[in-house]
Amino acid sequence: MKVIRFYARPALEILSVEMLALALVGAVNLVWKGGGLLTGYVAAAPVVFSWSAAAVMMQLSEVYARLVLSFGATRRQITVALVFWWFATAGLAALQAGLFRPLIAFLNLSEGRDFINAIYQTPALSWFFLTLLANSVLMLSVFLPPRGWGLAGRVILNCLVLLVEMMLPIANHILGWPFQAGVLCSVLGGALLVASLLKIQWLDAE
Amino acid sequence: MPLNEQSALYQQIAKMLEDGILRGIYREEEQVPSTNELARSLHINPATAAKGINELVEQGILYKRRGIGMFVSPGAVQAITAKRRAAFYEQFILPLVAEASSLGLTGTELAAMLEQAAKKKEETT
Amino acid sequence: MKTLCAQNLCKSYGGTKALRDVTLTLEPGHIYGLLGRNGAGKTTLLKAFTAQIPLTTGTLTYGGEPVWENEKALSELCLGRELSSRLGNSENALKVKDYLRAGRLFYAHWDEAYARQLVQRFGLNPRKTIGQLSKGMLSMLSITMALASRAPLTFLDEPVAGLDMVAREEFYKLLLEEFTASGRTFVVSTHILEEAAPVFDRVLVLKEGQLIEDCETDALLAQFCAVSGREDVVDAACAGYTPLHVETMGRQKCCTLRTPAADIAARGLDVDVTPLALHQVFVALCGGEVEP
Repeated sequence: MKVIRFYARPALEILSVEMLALALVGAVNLVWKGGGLLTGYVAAAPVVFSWSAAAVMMQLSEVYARLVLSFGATRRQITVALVFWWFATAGLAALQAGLFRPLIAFLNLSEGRDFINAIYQTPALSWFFLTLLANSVLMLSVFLPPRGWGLAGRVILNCLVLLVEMMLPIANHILGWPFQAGVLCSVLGGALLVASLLKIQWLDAE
Repeated sequence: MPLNEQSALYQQIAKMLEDGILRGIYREEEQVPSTNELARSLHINPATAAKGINELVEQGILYKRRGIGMFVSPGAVQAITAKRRAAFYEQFILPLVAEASSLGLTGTELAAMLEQAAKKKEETT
Repeated sequence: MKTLCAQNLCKSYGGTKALRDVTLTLEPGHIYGLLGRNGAGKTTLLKAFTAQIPLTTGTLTYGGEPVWENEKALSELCLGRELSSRLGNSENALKVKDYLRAGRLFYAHWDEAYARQLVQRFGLNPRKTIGQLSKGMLSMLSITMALASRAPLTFLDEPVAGLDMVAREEFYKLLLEEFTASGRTFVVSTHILEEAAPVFDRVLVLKEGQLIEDCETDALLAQFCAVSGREDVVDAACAGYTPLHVETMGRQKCCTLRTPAADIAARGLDVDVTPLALHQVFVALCGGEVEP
């Protein structure tokens, strides 16, 4: 619990800044209807949110583990906290997707944009799985590279996350099977999570 | 080359307290600073301060009052003077003579110089 | 107060051995000095003591219980580690107050009022992030964390690095105040031995990952002396002992020996026999080469 508590505040801080940014864009949109790029941004809110949630996750998992170890946290505590945040951020992303869909429909912002349509038609549960996978990749990118692998390796792995993030809308848009894609995400994500958690058992403090 | 001639730190603490007693900073039957006070003000480990104090307790210069602290024993000034007198020959006279002989001064010359210094000291005090 | 027992600690990073078979016991109520050259394994040892790195082999117990993955034991051990504002360190985005909040969460004996008092005394701005702090301020933050943890066994890794003379004195004063008031055990690593020597009642010396000395400071100092004078007389005075270090200047010679000063003085030769200070003993032990 200590580890979860330690990062609850910075996590909420980052998330609330994201929310604020989204609200701001939404407000601009209400005033200036049909504003191309901005419209797209609001429509893509769930994606943005799941990305930011994942980014939080990544930052947390890195800071978590190495830093918190130096305060005398056990690896068991860290594992519990990571699993907690793994689900929590994914849950938030799904919630966000669920909340935004009626809003987008109400504002009728995404008319004629296939890609955006695909995004907001994707079921919330799929977003949940997608974020789980994104989190796992991020976590892996933090924990798997051996010491000294450096920034470059992490950047490459983080780019992988972006690709994963796009996978679901693409699967939905091109193949028309959003839910199956979600399940695939969760299986993959689960495997990566286990790999990360195993690595933590031999982690060095910073 | 090591140029700093120094005795062990605890011995320096003991000597410092003795000097304090001789100068009347700590009078007989008065309390001396505690181990912790010495440690804090001199930036030394309390164990070292305790070792210095204990050395003086063993020699009867300080004594312990249970639950209160360390006190200067009655007759401490005399005890310190007697102790230092006993060590005076070895600590001061022998090195003095050694230095004098390495400079080629004779015993008579040295004695004359000593007498002259003693007379001067008497005049000023 | 509990005892920390380390047995045969070994730690390798790839092929390099950072710790080789370190066995020692940290008894309560001492201020230990941890000495060693750069790369001797001081930080690794401190991290090993606090279970921050997995050991290659060896066992570590605190009060008879294993330290590894032991939440209770770990809440009584604090490592005030060296902070760095180097880019990419994950703690750099943390504010000073958030960093100290970790102390409140993780250390069982944390003293919030004491932490606030130290922050004020050092003039630390709680709203600044760690990345914004100067080198001296980083040290002060580490010191604050370590002292306010009130951990029965506290390790300080290079606490005075980057501190000026006045701040260093202030640190040793704070350390001694806390030590005399609480009797906590401290292990302090430092390179500035001239100032720290009087504070340590015991010293641990690491050399290339091995613990080569573990004894009372006085006892260690009493084992060494320097003999100086005319070359031939010094040689006669030192006959039978192997000098650790030799310096010559014309006919003047100075030998550092691991022999009590009284043994040499007893020979009654015309040489100066002087005890060594801790930093000189350290150089004699870890400095390396003996001149022919």
